[in-house]
Amino acid sequence: MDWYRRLFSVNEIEENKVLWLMFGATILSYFAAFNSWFYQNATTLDAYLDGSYICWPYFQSCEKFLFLRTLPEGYSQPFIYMLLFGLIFLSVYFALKKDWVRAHMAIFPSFVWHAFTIFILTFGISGNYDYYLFFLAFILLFLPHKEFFLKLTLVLFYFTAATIKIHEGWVLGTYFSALKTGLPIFPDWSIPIWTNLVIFMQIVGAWFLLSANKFLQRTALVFFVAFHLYSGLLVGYRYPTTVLPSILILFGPMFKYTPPPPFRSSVLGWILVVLIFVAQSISILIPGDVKMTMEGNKYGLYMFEANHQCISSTDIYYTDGSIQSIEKQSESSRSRCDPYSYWFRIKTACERDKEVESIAWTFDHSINGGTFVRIVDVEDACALKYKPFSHNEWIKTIEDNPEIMGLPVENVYD
Amino acid sequence: MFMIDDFPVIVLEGLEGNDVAHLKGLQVFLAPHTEALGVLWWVIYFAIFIFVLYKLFVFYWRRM
Repeated sequence: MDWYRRLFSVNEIEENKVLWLMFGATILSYFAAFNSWFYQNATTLDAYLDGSYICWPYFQSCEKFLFLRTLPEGYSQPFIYMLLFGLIFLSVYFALKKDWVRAHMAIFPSFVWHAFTIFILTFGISGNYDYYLFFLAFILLFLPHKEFFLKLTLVLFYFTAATIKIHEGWVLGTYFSALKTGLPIFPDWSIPIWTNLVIFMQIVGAWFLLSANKFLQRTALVFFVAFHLYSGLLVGYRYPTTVLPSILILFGPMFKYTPPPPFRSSVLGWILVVLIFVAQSISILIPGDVKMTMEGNKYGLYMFEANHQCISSTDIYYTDGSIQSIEKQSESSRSRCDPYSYWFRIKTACERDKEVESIAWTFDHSINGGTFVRIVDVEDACALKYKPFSHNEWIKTIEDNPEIMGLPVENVYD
Repeated sequence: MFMIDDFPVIVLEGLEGNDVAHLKGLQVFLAPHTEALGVLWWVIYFAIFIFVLYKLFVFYWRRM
């Protein structure tokens, strides 16, 4: 067991109450994640069979791994999740006995399955809270200097997430004014005050969470706790369940200033920090407005990046000369309207149905209550390819002067 | 479908009866300055980023 303890710096957990509690918070997050995935169709063979599956742009053949089935079709996925539940339970048992090596071993499969699901198995079911869980669990389970990097990473999540808010949707607050229900509690006229306050706190205030100055540190803590409770009015329990316990444990009553660790022994942690910045930069470096094109959007944090509405229209031309028209609409602000997801399903239809000759496709996208813009207009979507890390010419940016189709009405967060 | 100025209004299923999305309150005054505000936030962002990197560099430099 000693090699295991040394390899993953488990001794840090054994000696630090903050890390004990973070271990518990991680277990709670896995429970919340797996509970919401238990009956999820997107990760099953049936998603492949009915053509509803979507793979990540960087791994467009994820169907190779879709072999589980969930109810009412089968028991294999519930079996996996009950197995993980048992291991989570076992981890709690060992944690209560303060046998942290075995507790660590028991939670290891949950980390692997969670990471495999959100980064390999499907493009469709993960949220930003899963990125939080992945990175925080990675630090807690595998890296040395766990407490320092847990604190820094949480602050960096706020700091990097601010980059997606430097856009009309948050600078003016049009994300919320374009909602029929507006911003929760606060009147419509005041929306920019609150949205810009959030930007300020994510860029500047988040660093105070690490401060040795008690007043600044507690002020930042109160703000972010209030922020997550408030945003729960829209996002529900899952996001605050992942974030709030970590904030309270790392920056609450037990907070002590943690200086940066010696550089040589913390190189892995710093590599992770660089990786977080690189991941967040991808969508910024791809030409075009990511809120409109969605290219690279999910490689970094993307919570509330824009309020979306879209219409995807296809004309399917069959070899016998017949034509079938299909229109799909998405009116919920948080439904991302990613042309990639729509294209992926069209591609699947092209590949499967040999009677399909070509599929003409248009995609009209409105963000933050702005005009519907025709960002895709192609004669044959079957011939398209999607590049995961660079701009796809068939998705029009504002520089391409796409056709303006009309004005949206206020939509809903659903 | 009805028209506002030159553009038709597109009402998606489930949104029937909703108003056309438009600017409200302070947004009307801030709208002409959206780009400038965005630039300001990026300047503050990079200023903080460079400041943090500098503090980190100094911290490790002193420990060498």
